[in-house]
This record gives sequence, C-alpha cells and structure tokens, in this order.
Amino acid sequence: MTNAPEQRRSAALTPANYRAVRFSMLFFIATQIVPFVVLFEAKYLYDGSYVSPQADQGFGVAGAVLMALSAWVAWQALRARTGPDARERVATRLKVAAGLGLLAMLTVIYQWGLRYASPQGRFGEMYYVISGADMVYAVVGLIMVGIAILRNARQDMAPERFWTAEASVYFWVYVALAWIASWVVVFLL
Amino acid sequence: MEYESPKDEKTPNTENSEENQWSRRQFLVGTAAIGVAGAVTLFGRQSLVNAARSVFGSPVSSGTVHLYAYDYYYIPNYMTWRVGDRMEVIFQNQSHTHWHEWTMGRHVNEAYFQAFGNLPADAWQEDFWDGVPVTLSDPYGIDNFVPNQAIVTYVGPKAAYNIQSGGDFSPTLKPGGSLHLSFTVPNKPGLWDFGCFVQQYIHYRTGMRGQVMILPA
Amino acid sequence: MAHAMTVPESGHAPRPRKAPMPPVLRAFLWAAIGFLLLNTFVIAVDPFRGHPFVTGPSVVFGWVGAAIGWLLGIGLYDAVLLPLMGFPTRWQERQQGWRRYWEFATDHKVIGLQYMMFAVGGFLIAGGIAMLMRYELMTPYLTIFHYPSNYLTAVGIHGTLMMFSFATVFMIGGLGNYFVPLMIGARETVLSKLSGIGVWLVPVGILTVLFSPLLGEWSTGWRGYEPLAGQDANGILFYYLGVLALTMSSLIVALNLVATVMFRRAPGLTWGRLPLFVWGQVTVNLLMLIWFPEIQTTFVMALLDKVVPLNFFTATGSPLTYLMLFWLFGHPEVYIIAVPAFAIWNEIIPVMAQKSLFGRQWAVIGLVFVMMLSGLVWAHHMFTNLRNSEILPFSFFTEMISIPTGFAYMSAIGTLWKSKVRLNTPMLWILMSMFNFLIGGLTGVFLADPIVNLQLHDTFWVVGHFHYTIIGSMVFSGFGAIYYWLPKLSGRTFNETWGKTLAIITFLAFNLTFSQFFLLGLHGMNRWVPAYPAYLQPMNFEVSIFAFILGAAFLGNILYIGYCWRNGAQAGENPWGAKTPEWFTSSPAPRYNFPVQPEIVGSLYLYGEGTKVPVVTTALGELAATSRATQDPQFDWHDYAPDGGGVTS
Repeated sequence: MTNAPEQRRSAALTPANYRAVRFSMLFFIATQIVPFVVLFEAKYLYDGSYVSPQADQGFGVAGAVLMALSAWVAWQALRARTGPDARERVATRLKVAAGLGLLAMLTVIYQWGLRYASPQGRFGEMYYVISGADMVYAVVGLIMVGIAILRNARQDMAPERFWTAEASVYFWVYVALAWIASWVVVFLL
Repeated sequence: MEYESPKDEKTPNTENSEENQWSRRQFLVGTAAIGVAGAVTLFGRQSLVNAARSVFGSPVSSGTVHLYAYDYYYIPNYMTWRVGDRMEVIFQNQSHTHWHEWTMGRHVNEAYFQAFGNLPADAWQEDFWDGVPVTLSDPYGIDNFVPNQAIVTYVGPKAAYNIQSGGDFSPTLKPGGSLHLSFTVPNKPGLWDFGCFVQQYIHYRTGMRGQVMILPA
Repeated sequence: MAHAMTVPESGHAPRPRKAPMPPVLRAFLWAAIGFLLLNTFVIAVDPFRGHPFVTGPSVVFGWVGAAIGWLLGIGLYDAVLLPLMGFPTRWQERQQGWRRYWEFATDHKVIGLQYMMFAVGGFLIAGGIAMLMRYELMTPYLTIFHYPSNYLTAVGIHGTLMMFSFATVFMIGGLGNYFVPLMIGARETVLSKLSGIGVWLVPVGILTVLFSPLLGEWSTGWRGYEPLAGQDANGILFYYLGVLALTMSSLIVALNLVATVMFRRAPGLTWGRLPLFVWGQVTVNLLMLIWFPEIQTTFVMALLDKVVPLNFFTATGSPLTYLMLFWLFGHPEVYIIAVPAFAIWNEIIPVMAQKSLFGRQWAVIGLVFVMMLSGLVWAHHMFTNLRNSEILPFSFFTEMISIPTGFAYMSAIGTLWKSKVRLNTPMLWILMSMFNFLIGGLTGVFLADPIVNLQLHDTFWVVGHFHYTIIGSMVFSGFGAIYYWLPKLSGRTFNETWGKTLAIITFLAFNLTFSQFFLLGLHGMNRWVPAYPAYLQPMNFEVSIFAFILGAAFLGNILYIGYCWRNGAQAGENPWGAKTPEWFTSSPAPRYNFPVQPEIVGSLYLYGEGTKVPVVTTALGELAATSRATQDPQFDWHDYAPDGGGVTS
C-alpha cells in the first residue's frame, strides 16, 4: 500500500489531469460525430435530397436558431467563470442555455405531434430518426447542464470543480452543432 | 490480486470499517438464488405455468372473445371453453409486418420441421374444425381462408374471404386484418392446440401457439 | 443481516446501522425496479391490445431502466452520482480484500481483473453453448434442440458472447486495463471512475444476450443480419441491446486507454520507446473509437426498424445497406481482436529469447497499417452480393492486408533467429498462436479469391477459418499472456510440466477439431444448420469428440491458472528477466503502481552485452512526460483558478 491513498483520491483536479480529461471529453465528442455521419449517409441513400412539402420550414429554422443561441449563451458561461459574482453569472447563463434548449426541443415535439410525415415513408423515417437522435443527445446534454447547475449551486467555483460545467458546455455546443447539421440535412439539402 | 485469508478480513481497519462490510453469505446465497431463478425462467417457464394452471385452474371464457396475433405469439395463448357454449372469437392480426393465421387441431406432425423433405400445408393430424358449423363475418384484410371440412356460413359477399382450398381450417390475415368467427363449441372435449403455420412453420416453431382446454358440458 | 457484523466492539460504539446489501444484489434489485418503472410507464402510454405486460417497445425502455438501475445499484449512486451533484457521500473505495472485485472500483488493476473475470464468464457460457451445438451436430437430425430456430438462437448467443463479451473484452478491457498503465509507468488511468462504470456494463450485456430467448428466438447469429432479423421474434431486441451495452463498455475502455497513453506516460517514455503491447492497444482503441459508434448507430436503426416499425433494412428498404454498415464495423472488429495478439507475440518473444527485438519499427508499422487497411476490406464478407467489378478492389485489399500482418511474423521470426529461446509455457502458447494464426491467415487468402469464395461461402470452411484466426490468435495468445504475467498478477508462478502439458493438449485438440472444419466445408457441410445430409455424420461425430476435449482443455487451463493464482510457488520479482516497466514494481503492484515515478532511460527491447536497465526509479514528481508543467516554464496551476487558487473545498 502506498501512503495516504485517501488523500490522493479526493485530491483536486491537477493541471495534468485537467488537460487529460479535457482531451478525453473532446475526443469522445469527436467520436460522436460518427453516428450522425451514418444517419446523414442513410438519409442521402434512402431519399436523396427530398424534403417533404409538408415539412414546416419555420419550425426547422426556429429550432436551429434556438439551439445556436443556446450554445452561444452556454459558451458565455465559460467566459464568465472569472471575476466577481462569477457563480451567479455562470448559473444564469447555464439556466438560460438550458431554457433555450428546452424550447428548441419543444418545437420538435410539436412538429412530431402534427404527424405530417408517416414513419413508414422514406422521408418520414429519416426525419423521425435524425430528429430523434438530436433529441436523445439534447436530453443527455440537458442532464449534464442540469448537473452543472446543481453542482455550481452547492460548490465553489474552484477550477477543479468547474470542469463539470465546462464539460457540459462542450457537450452542449456539440449537441447544438449536430442539431444545426441535422436541420441542414433534413430541411434544406 | 493479493490473497487475503479470512482472518484478515475480520481485522478492522480504517478503510474497511465494519459499516462498509457487506455480508459474504448474503452475497453467495443471493447470487446463487438469482442464478437458479434465471435458469428456471430460461428453461422451465412452461412447466411452471402448467403447474400453476393445474393448481389454480383457468376461468371459462364464453361469449365474445378477442384473439390477438402478434410476432410471434397469441394473446391469449390459453383458453378454457365449455361444450355447448355460444362463442364469438374476434381474431385480429396486430402485427405491423407479418401475415398470421389461426389453425387449431391435435398432433402436429413434427417430422415436417426437419430441415429436409417436403412441407405439406396440413400439419394437424386432426383438425378441430372438421364438421363444425361456424359463421364468419366482418372480414377485413383477409389474405385467404381455407374452410377444409368445416361447415361454413359466410356473412356478406364471399369475395372478401378469398376462399382457397388445401390444408387445415385456417383464416390467414394480412397485417392489421380481422375476422369474426361465431360457433357453438362442439362436443370435442379435451386439450386442443392452436398455432400459426405461416412461413413454413417458422411462426409456430418460434412459439406462435397456444392451447384451448374444452370442458365437457 | 446480523452475521455481517463480525467486527469486535471498539471503544465507542458506532451508531447502529444495518450492514449494507452486497452491491451485486442491490444492483439486481434496482435493475428490477428500473425495469418495472419504465416498462409500466411505456405500457401505460402505449398499451397493446390484449394487454400484454411486456411488449417490444416496453421491453426496450424497461431494459434502459434496468441498465441504469443496475449501474446505480452497483455503487454509482454513492460513488459518482452524489459527489457529481455536490452532495456528501459515505463512499470509500475498498483497498483490499476480495469484496472490491464485486463492487464499483476505480483502480485500473481491479477493473482489469473484473474485465477478465466477466470475460472468462462469457467465455465459459458461450463455450458451454458451443458444446451443446457440437452435441447436436453429432447426429444429422434434431436431438437436443427441438426446432432449428432453437439451434440458431444458441449459435447466435455463442457468437455474440464470444465476440463482444470475450474476444473484444479480455485482451483490451482486461489485460489492457491492467497492464497498459503499468507498462507506461503510470500511477492510474485518466478516466478511472468512468472505467469503473464501464466494466459493470459487461455483465449487463452478457445477461441480456443470454436471456434473449425469453423474448423469442432469433436466427441471425452474431451479426444481427437484416432483413433476416425482420422475421425474428423479439429476442433480437435483446441482441441489439446487449451488444449496445458491451460495445459501450469497450468504447469506454478505448477512450480511457488512449487518454492514459497520451497523458500518463512516464518521463522518458517517448512514442518511439512505447512498449509494443501498448502500441497494439492504442491502434485497436483508435479502431474502436471510430467503428463502435458506427455499429451502435446501425443497431439502434435496426432496433427502431423492429419496434416502431420502420423500413430501413426490410425488403422495401435496403438490406444491403445493413450488410455494408455491419461489415464496415465487422471486419475492423476482427482486427480489434487479433492485433493485441500480434503485439503480445513481440512482447514476449524478445524476453524469452533474451535477444533484442528484430525490426521494432516494422513491428509497430505493421500494427498501424493493419489498423488502417482493416477499414478497406469489409465487402469481402459479401462477395455473393456484389458484382465482379466491385469484388476486385476488396479482393486486392484483402490480400494486401496479409503484408502488414506479415511484419508481425517477420519481427517474431527475426528475433527467434539464432536465439537461445527458453521454450517455457508462455513461449509455447505464443508459438502455437503464431502457427494457428498462420493457418487461419492462409485459409483466408483462399477466401479472398472471389471464385473460391463463391464456392466456399457459408460452408464450414469459413467457420474453420475464423475460428483459427480468432481462437488461434486471441485465445492462444491470451493464455500465453496470462501465463507470462501470472507472476505479476498474483506474485505466484506455475509448474512448467503442468503448464506445457495443458498447452499441448489444448493445441492438439484445437487443431484436430478445427482443421477438420475445412474438410467438412469442402465436403459440403453448411453453416447454420442443425440437420445435414447423413453422409457427413461420421466426420461431424468425430469432430464433436475433439471439440469436447478442447472444451475440457480450456476449462482445465482456466482451473489450473486459478489454482496457481492462489497456491502456486512464490515467483521472483522479475522471473523472466523482462525490461518493460511493469516488472519494476512489486508483484502484484500496489494501489498506485509505483512507489516513486519511474523514468525510462533506454529502449525496452534491447538485450545482450552493453545494454542498460531501461527503467530507473528516482523520486521525480508524478507528472507525466508530456505534461505542460515539464515543457512550459511559464506554466502555473493558478492560471486556472479565478482568484489565485485560494479557494478549496
């Protein structure tokens, strides 16, 4: 047994650790591009560039813009981590980002409720699966942002504790980018 | 892995405080019990169900009964009828993708299930519907219907039933199809099997079958 | 539960508290609760006519609930979730005793052994099923399996568990987790908590696949072929879900090991000095990080095809798309399994020969090129579905890939050349592995030829070929590695006579079983059939006998290793005279591996006169070679702290 393992276990995130986990997180996010590549390829294969005339372009734009805004606000939370009352400013931005994300998800749920495309059709099945993938990633992202909000409320803003918030923002930005790419593929191309 | 003698485990230390120590016996007994339960569910389900049925019995159904076909099972897959009761079976195919039929009889010839040889359509040695008067109505999405030896009355235009010959009494429904079968339970008491022989018995082999216990009047 | 309180009374009585439930049992309980919650919810939202309690959609969501419940129950709730949310927790990692292998852990050595434990469990279950299959094939008609679909389900469970819970897991999750950090002089892995979570997904996957017959039979084998799966009962759902859990676990391993190799190498351990086994792990980890998300997406699409249902891969969709997507992953998967074995050969041979590794760079280049080419050969699994013009490039690349594979042989043979090799048990296993893989590789060259392929497709020739490559490389090398590292893992060693005898029996039984598969295939024995023409019976009968001996031999080896683990003779600190860093600490290694940070000062594969000990253990800091602190003189930890780092919790 080494001496004082307990101390190591609870030790703060060291700079080397920070860079390692940040690398891992970014690498993980990079691997998650693959599922969308597969889905976009399938979309191209199954129905080419066809877009159902019933698809509501307004909602498509609204969802994408909301997600873009949400990602931008979330990114601002990272920049707000220094200075006085950092905790409040970070918390506000994260909450606004989560709210905008929820709104974007509601636009999709509303469109699903309209049932304008049949899941049996070529366009419909890719539309539901790609937007469904967006939703799954958004739910995971929201859980991560939610944890970051909860955690920030309970703990100080020391950098080793801030990593959770940072990771959730990275993931959230990825979710937004994937969302916008999906919007381009499903509604535009 | 360092090997610890049991003596070491009893020694208190700061890391393994007594509150953190879960029970070894509980662990062994619990996992063994879960293993046994798993083996029973995997291999002995049907015996358990049969035993429970023989102990508790099964309620007699009469009047209107729904029989749903899914991929690949029936709901219900066990019914009790009584001789002389008036029945209306509403047979509905709930599958989104598969054609399903309802045949009933005894002694399926399992030699046909071997990989080689011909696969005749009449698998039951004894067809339950032989000589039974039955009225068919409300056909929807019927792929075909084989009356065999049954005495069938059709309600509505016959074209909707797509009547064919060859094989056991078998209404075959397209996905989403349904059919009403009205009859008086004939005097054929005992245990009868039913099943779906579509796709060369794949459905039946995969478990799409059930039983009807017919009680004497 | 009172019997758990075995500790004598101490000075002040602790407040009365029930002994906690064993984590595994709690995990089962919480999994059941999770299943019931989500299953019932889905049934309430989406009731089926006739009111079955478990439906296709409900079982999918119920499974997700069960998996989450399982992970939380095994210790995530206390160890990860509470601290993550900023709540206090009573969780303390257990530092010793057998119990730490049956709960959540963050020590990469514990996790590695957990992976090995579960992988061997999967191997034994799947091997037992293989014995049933061989028993069935002793006669040309159905005996123990009532229907062909039962047999096909057994084949599917055998293949799925062998591929996803053993072949992919044992060397990478098991040996990789245990030895990669040790071999790069690291004190722990980067994502130690995530890694501890991932390992508990392996039993989830094994149990899911094993219990798939509860939902009905499936006939597709380990590939989940569409549109064949379209005619399967709901059992195929558990195939997709189980494989999802197993691949997720392997994905976590890959991410963790890549990050660990990037950031935790000891000072002086440059990429040029990286041990070969670590190179092998990094290459396959990169393969996994590319292809596992791909196959997971494909399986989710196939799952939706089944439960919604959609028409991606059915007859009205594009069945060939599924085959393409599957084999795009499927062929790299084969190299994910084999490449660590190639690496192990060149890890062990220089040690046993006490001779410098021949052409070290070429051995590494071979591994990397196998990795790169493996993504270019997938369609050779589908020659029967392709046009001639499409076949040729894949045939070409398939034959090309034998060249980088040959580099591994070149280094091994060059090292053995004129050496005084110690022909002990690990070495014997490695040589056997090289022989078996050679047979597997050569028969693969036949299959790469389109015309021969069209004849041999779906026969036992193919079955013989892939069992020679997978068992021949991964399982034989795995046993070699375990015998080689047994002194490291347990501090104990084995008896050479017993070890060699068991190795030779296994080798003979293996070759007598699977070499005849080629002949059976040439005589017209098809895969995927429990009943076959009667003229094939004598040979099948005899193959089955050898298969049972092979099964017993594997079991004997596992039991013997287990016996030596506890009762073997004490081994020396570095019994083989190896130079890689894992041997420069005590056996088994302490919690943080090295008392002080080792430094690498020379090549790990040079032997003979004038070579120095490459690993020195001076008291440096714990920072890795590549950390910014050692490279950037301006670096200051407080740059990360908003108020100068004054705040700590």
